[in-house]
Amino acid sequence: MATTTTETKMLTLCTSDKQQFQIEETIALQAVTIRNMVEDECASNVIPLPNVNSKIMIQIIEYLKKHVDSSVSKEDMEKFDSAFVEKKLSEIFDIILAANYLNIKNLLDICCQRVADVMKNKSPEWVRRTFNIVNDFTAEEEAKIRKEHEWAFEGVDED
Amino acid sequence: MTNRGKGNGKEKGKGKGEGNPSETKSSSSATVSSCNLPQDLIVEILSRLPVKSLLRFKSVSKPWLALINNPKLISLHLSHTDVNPKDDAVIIHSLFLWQEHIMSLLDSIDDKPINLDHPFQS
Repeated sequence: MATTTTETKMLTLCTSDKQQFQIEETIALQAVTIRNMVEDECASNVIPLPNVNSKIMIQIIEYLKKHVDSSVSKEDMEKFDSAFVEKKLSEIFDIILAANYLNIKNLLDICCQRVADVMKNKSPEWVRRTFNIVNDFTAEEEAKIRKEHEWAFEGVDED
Repeated sequence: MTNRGKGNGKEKGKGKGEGNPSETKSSSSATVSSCNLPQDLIVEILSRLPVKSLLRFKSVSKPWLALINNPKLISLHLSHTDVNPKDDAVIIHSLFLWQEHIMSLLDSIDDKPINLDHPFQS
């Protein structure tokens, strides 16, 4: 090979389902967890990421590739971010877990904000279904709490 | 040693058999949510919600009520509101509500009102 003078350093990431992703080191190092592993020389050739599957990894790499590019204007980056989080909530939850594990703060921020934006006008019943939460209030307790904040139930989206 | 991953959630089946003496009721913090998100991430999401939504979501479950009443969430919430000063009216509105809310929390501990950090008073 040796066609280029400045060789781009590559890293290989191995996901929970044993898929390998070869990406430029500069892209991968935006994830603080990966950066720490590389700096501590814990990682040799292949960096194992047992908490991230390949489906989510593909999306995270798409995000990191965009964000490493310093020529993208702030406005375009915001556009990219808002398009990026247009996904099903179940997928956003998976990305949140991965972003938290990989320690990619911006990605965690925009995904948490996305969940908040989707849920802000929803009912408590919707929240229970979406987050798999069991209602452990008695009927009386629930009625009392709802009554205390009755106005907060105005203008709630239909389920 | 390459064993530095946080690995939460992944390594199940370590200490089965033991523990879990037939689900006792009171373990509130254990199952805030079973959509896989740990409590600190639920808090991250809640801290980005408008106050009105938070008040509504107090009735979701007991663990959520405790999370929403937690002063840590309040300060995190303020920190997010502060970064985003485009809707002044909303901030004032929500601050007012939070203060009222904090007062009511503190009421049970101490009768004296306490001055809170305020993003507009630097």
